[in-house]
Amino acid sequence: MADPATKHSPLATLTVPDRLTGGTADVSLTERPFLGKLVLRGGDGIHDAVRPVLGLDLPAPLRSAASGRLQVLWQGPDSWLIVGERETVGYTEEALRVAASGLHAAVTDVSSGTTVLRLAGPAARDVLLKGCGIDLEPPAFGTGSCTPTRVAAFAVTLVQIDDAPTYDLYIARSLARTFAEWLIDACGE
Amino acid sequence: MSQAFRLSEGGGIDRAQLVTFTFDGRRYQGYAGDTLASALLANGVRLVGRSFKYHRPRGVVGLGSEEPNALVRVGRGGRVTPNLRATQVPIEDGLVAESQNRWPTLDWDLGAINSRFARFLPAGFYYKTFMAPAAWWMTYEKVIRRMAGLGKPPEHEDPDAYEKRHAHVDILIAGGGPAGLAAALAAARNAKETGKRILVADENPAFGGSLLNGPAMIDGRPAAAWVEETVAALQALPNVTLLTRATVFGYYDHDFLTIAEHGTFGAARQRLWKVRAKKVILATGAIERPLAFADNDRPGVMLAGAVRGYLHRYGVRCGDTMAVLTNNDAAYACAAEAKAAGMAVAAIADLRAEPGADALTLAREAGIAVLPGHAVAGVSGTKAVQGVRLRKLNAAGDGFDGPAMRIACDLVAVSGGWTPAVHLHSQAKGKLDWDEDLAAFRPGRRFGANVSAGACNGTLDLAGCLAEGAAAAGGGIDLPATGSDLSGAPHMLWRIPAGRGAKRFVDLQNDVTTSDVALAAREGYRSVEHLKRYTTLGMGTDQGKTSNHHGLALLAGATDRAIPDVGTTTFRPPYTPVTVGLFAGRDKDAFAHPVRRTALHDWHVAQGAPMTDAGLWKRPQAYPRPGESLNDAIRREVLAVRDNVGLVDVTTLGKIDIQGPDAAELLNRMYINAWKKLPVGKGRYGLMLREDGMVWDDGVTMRLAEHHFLMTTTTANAAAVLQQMEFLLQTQWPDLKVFVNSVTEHWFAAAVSGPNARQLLNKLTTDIDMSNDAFPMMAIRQGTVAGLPARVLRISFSGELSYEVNVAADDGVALWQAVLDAGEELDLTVYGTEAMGVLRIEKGHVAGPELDGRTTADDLGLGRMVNANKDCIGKRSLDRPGLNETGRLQLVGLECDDADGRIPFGARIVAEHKDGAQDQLGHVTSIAQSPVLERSIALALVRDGRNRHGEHVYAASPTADGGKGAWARVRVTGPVFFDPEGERLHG
Amino acid sequence: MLLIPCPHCGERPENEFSYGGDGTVERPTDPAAVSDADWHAYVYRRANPKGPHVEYWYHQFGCRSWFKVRRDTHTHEILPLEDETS
Repeated sequence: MADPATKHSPLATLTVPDRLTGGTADVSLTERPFLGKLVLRGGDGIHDAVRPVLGLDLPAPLRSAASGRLQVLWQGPDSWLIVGERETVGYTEEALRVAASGLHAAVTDVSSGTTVLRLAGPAARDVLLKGCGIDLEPPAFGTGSCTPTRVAAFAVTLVQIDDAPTYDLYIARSLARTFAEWLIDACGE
Repeated sequence: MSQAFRLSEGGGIDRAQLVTFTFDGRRYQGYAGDTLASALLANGVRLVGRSFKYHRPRGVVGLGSEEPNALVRVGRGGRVTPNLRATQVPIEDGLVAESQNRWPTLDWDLGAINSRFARFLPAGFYYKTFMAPAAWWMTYEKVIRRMAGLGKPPEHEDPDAYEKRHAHVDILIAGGGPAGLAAALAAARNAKETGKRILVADENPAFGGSLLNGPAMIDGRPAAAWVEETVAALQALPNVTLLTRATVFGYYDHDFLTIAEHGTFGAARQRLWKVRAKKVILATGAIERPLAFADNDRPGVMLAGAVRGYLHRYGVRCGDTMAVLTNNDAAYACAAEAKAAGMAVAAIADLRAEPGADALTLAREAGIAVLPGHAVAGVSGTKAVQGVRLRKLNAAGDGFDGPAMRIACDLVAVSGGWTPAVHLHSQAKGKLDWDEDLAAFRPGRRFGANVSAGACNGTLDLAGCLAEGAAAAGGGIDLPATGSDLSGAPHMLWRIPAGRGAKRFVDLQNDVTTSDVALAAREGYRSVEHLKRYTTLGMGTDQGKTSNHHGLALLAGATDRAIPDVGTTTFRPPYTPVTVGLFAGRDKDAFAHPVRRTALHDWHVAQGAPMTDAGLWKRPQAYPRPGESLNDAIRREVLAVRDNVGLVDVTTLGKIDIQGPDAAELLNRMYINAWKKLPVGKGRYGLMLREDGMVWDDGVTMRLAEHHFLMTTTTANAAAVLQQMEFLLQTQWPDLKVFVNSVTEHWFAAAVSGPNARQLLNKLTTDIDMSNDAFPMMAIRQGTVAGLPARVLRISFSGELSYEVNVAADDGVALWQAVLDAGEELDLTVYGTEAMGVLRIEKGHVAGPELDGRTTADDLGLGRMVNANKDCIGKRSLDRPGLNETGRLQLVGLECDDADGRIPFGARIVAEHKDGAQDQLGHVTSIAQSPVLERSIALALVRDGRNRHGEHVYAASPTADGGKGAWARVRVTGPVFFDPEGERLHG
Repeated sequence: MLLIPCPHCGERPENEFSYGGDGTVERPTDPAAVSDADWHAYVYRRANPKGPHVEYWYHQFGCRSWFKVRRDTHTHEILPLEDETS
């Protein structure tokens, strides 16, 4: 394994204004870099096959699920994103391949392909609503909800973590910088 | 300044806050809460603009968004906004406003000479006069543009920020007058349990609508107190959002509405709301109609409701002495209240022979003379009203009886009835029904989840408005009310008799008169849509809010039809003009076309590399050293790859991970060549067609395992190829067991190319055998490079020994640095997209310019790749005769005869060097200055090109060299200029 | 902006989708057996009805599903797919 110190997140050189990192503001923005991520694709039988590996049920459409070490995000009718620490995800990748062998399924490492921006605080929803056209208020969308959607010109996977509200935004690596700048601008003064 | 027309008390203004502003360079004062219009009227300013066509002096007519005349340019520099209605611009200290449509000054306007030649400027004037010769249009246009007003656009980039906000609501209420507030109150009560989301938007600075224009009682309280209580109660509710200065300007499909809100939103002054509503209550009120009498456009001729509004909202008298012309009861209250406020009311001329009894009582008690069956026959005064002539109408209403009475006055308050503001109902595709009593269209069959309530639904009495509003939101509240009615059916006389030559304006903003409508009808314009375009009626920024019904009625009269048979024009968003910046918001520039960066982006920029666009990606063109030109740098970089070793960032190519037992079958169906027998660990070049047989995309696809492939696409088509594969798998071939996932973003890719590429990589890997035998051309190996987990592909775009190293993108910077460090002693050269382009052109590899959607595999010399034993997308089309006949454009190389010459960019291929027309043989697709051949070369598509190798032709560009044009004599060759046998690849 | 009913994500704003054209067109299973005229029709010819139209949509910014929608091209009403034959 390479020394993690040599890894570079797509936002390594981004400066987030102090007002968004202070912890007292209405909204904060932080990156959760270097998470491990797998795309799990599978049809019939996939739920039962991977349950022992993940220690949880694959989430239903528009939902996420979490165990202590892994988070699973629904991405589409036969598609989930499995997220966790790199090492955990590394073990999981092999275990999933074994568990799903014999099924029509696919496991693909996409760890570096996205980064995660965490937007949290009482004003977080208002910031998202500057660019997101779906209903983000309960009951339409609440803690545990998860959907791929569009924020301004960007394709993101949006997950609500808690009622603060806290959101995780999964954004393609190449667009991460531009999207983070959009969010910072949308967070305003 | 004195504010001589300000009443000593009354109005919703803040008299403690004096505000200073300038209009046309003069300083004035008003109060906080004033609009520009109310402050100017308070200062006795009557002349606020010139008209569109005749440049006639014009004054304020209305009170709000219906204002046709008082259009002003507000602000300075990039912040200037033209065509704002002075009636909707709140004044603030330092506000700078200018009148429009005048030159050189408002008072002395040269364009007013148009007025004298008015008979030469009839309807359709532009169409008739500026017809021929066509070549003169350029001149005509300049003249027309200068004389046609309606404001100058800003000359600088808009420095302002604009905000956006999406919202999902259960109930959107458009309009916060009596009906809207009653609806909001009922909705809030009925949503107490459910917490349904309610949004109420009003275009004015305060809620209340017509309730602010005069006294009334609601629920036992003065209307103003009721409004205040209601707004306070609504504001306290968490599920209710109230917006003021917020115009619901668009009603789009599936109950999607847009609101332009003015205020302060962080750094922005305007905010665009994009609202999806489960239910919409339209409570947009009604717009008062003017009447078409002689010289009805003089400054001082105003709508009666506006006169009343200025009195009560702003404490402003619109004049000293007023004459009233009305066809309904509503204007009587205006007259009585004006008199009570200290104005003189000379007379009320009522078109009706028998005005309403209550109205007459009101006038009598106020001591105001009423002249039933009378009308205004003329107005004296040009830049301000000085008096009117009143005459008795004949029984038919088409002429006058008896002598004219001259009355001195400086204000004419006009009421021609009320037109429901059906705009949003209509935008939603609702139908309109003609209401004879109202003499107006009102909402008919509706479309979408909306309901109209109150005056916009044709209900003009206050109690009715309140009841309808409440009912629209589920009812449950009862609001008894008196006063402030717009009631009384108008007696419509669409054209009031006038002397010869007198102008009766229908559309004040676009200077359309009753005669223009009559002329258009005589000339055969029977369709209202044609009338509109021919006369420009209703085509101004106000979309004819005060003029549409007159236009329709006059056209109906002139063509002997009923008004509903003439129909209405289409109402389109926006209800009032909206700035372009509002639509853009922050989604402009890099946020509208979001910049994509590779992991090495910052490094490229730090080297000073000029970056170029590749789709949304930014890529380094070349890395010029100090003192080196771009061309020098490209040449150096190309030679380094040919002679030594180079390094390039190739991350942007699309990568698709394909897994499943039918993966090879899918590739067989996507690509023209065959894939089932490809050994694991090997790849091949694939070519994809569109279904019409044209080449679409190409790239190398590797077999990682029996049921696992990695496809490479071009940078440009990465997303589209994935989308197409998903389409086919999900809709056409659901039986195929295969999953596709984009992994473009996960990988960083760098190509190491050149004779010393292997030597360099050997320094960086211990677990991959780089030898030619162990790692042949078109093979893929997994292992570590610089200690990083890597996939190494032996593929070549440059024609040299070349390896593409893929690592997880997080490791990209580390890999790059390790290669640079290891390459130092080999004098490794980093190269950019320009050198890459030269290298591929020298090798005759096709790319975007050759894959232009019109070339077949055979055109590109790749016809042999088509596998005969299987179908694939586009293959069937290759049998079509047009794709097989002779004379198709085929890919060739071109070498410039003159070693110092240049093949022009984008040149056409012709047989002879001569002026004048000749057949085109084809065109240049890609050019390069080849450092290896030391001359200008090109790839080109040339008719029957493969049979022309060795011929000399000309590459000509009439637009090259800044329009001077350029020629080059060229020799047609095969497309591969360098190492045609490919020996260097295998070195 | 239309609301497009994604079978997996529910109604979503139109700008999450791309339009995929006529949903009644099926790719011939054996293109080699198709006449030139029929192939031409499959590649190029499309009806342009005013009224109900079955069409493909792709949830590009969402779950990446392709699905059919029956939409009235005149009113933009989204109609039930099962009425396809009527």
